[in-house]
Amino acid sequence: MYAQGLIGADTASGETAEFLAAFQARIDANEKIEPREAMPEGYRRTLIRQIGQHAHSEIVGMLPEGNWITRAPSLRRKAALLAKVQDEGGHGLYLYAAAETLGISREQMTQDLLSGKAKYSSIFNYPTLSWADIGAIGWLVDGAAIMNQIPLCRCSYGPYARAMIRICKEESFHQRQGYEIMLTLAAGSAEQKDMAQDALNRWWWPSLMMFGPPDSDSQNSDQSMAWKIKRFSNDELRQKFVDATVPQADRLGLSVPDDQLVWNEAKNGGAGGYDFGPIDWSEFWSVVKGDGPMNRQRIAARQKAWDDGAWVREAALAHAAKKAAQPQAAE
Amino acid sequence: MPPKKQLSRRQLNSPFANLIEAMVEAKSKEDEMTGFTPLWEVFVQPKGALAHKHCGSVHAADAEQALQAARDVYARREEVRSIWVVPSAQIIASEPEAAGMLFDPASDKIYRHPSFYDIPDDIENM
Repeated sequence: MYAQGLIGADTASGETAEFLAAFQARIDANEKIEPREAMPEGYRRTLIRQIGQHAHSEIVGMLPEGNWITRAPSLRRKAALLAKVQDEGGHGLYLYAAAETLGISREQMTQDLLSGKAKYSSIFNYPTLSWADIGAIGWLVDGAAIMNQIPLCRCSYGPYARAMIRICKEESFHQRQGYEIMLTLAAGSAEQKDMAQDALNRWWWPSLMMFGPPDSDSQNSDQSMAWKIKRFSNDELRQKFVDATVPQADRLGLSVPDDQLVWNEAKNGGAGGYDFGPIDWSEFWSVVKGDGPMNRQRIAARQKAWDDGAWVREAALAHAAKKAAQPQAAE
Repeated sequence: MPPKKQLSRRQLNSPFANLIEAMVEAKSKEDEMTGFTPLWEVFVQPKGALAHKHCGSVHAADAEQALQAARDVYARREEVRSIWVVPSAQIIASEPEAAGMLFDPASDKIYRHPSFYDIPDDIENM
């Protein structure tokens, strides 16, 4: 659920012009590229990086919401949140499997996450301070992710596109359960409504940042678009998200924390759209580079999970080896 | 000479046993981060008597755990009737470069399709 505009990509290729042109012709004909087929190294590296970031985001994304499972206000909410967090884990696994088809191992990807070499969506480096944050995450963060992910279902790389189709099918429940939480809080006591407003205030701008840096700063976007890894630019998707989400906030009776937000009839080719205030990109880059409020805790939690699971992985392998070595006569 | 059934079981199992042995051996040589758990391909059969279809892969130390992981990862919404897991190393696939040689011969044999044959419009039930 948590694709972010790609943070850093490496699209340099050392192949001959003929090879690159033949590959581009396949892409232009809307052919899907499959794992063992010839592909430019830049294409492979960009996909490994993007799918890896996406997978890590799903896995790290389990942490802020997992934080509230034991404190969900009812059994209904708890069951839904548990199922949602379990889905995120599943989505991470679909994506790791897709990345592995490009020749990187799961273990290498895990190591890259833990060492800080690989990135994940900046949004998960913010804390979940109240129950309303669970509503805001489902509504805004999953909403932004859906905006990002639907075009990825048509990505030129077959395994990634197939994983995204599976993910998008499961995603809608996440956003709806979040919005339902917001609806309930917004219709509750003044204190509950304040909680909902506070959550919107804190999650709005980080959600807009999820689409990645502005097009003017996103050097690798053009190549990713030409290869049909990406279908829309970061700014296009961000605009779609704002246009879709502002009316939902109105319906909740909450206000979007942007005093420059205004309807502009002329936007989107005359269909209209919202103008919105400037995004604080220095905050985005500081979070991406490791200095967000929760970066250290997130990686520490993943490191602990990896370390604490070591004996389980070792025991499972030893057990399998022992069983495989046993004579077949017993069967 | 062992009974034939036993021989065929052994033939089936031995490449996999060697694979696991090799992996465990490789693991003990590497540091902990690079030790790896085998990959399995997952095929699920949806409800409604459709064929099993490849849906992705999981890592697991053995077949039983692979099935459990496949259940957790690919069958969370009760749309599944049955799951197969196969060690990825045991899949034999055609080479992408051989696709033309293998599959193009079918493309000029339109007489294999029913619409190739001219039947008058007034003939029914055909």
